[in-house]
Amino acid sequence: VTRAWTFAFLAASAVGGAAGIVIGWAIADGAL
Amino acid sequence: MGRRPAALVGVALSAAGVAAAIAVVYLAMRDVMRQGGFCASGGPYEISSECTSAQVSLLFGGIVALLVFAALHSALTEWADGPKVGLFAICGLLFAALGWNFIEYGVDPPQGGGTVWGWLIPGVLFWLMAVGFALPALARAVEWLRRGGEPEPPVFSRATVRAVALQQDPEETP
Repeated sequence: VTRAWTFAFLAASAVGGAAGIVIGWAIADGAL
Repeated sequence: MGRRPAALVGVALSAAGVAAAIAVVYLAMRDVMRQGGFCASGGPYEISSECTSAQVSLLFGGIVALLVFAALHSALTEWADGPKVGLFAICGLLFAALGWNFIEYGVDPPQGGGTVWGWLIPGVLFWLMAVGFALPALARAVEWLRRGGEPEPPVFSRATVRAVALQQDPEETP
């Protein structure tokens, strides 16, 4: 396990999380 | 695909699932609160505040999805030796988001009128719980930064057996 790997791991979580907020917001906005 | 690229894709997808689920639950909760804070459906009695099918499916679907994706994210973190900040951060964010709904609508209720203490007090409690989760998440993040992004040292390490060869003094030999 390297330092770069740890950073990549956190970056993947952050990017996925940001995309998820947009997706979840759109789903709920469309349904409600 | 190797283990690490696969883990990165999985982590990004599961983080997206967690964030989407929190966003869905947050918005569905606000919708129910604008309706008065409760709703029901079915049963023999006449219901004054009927749940819409969207509210039910978003709230229950969101909660189940949150549990599934959080478990997946946690499992992938373990599998790929990632930094273990996720679960504390997820719980902290969830309580902060839902607590904000209670606080905002407790201070300024959608139906008008004065402060709704029954919402404001849970909101403050939710934020206290959010702090309770954020602190260990923050501590782990700071620790991780101090290590310069190096992975966490293992909790358990292989036992070290030290062998010492004793040399007998030849003169003491009987």
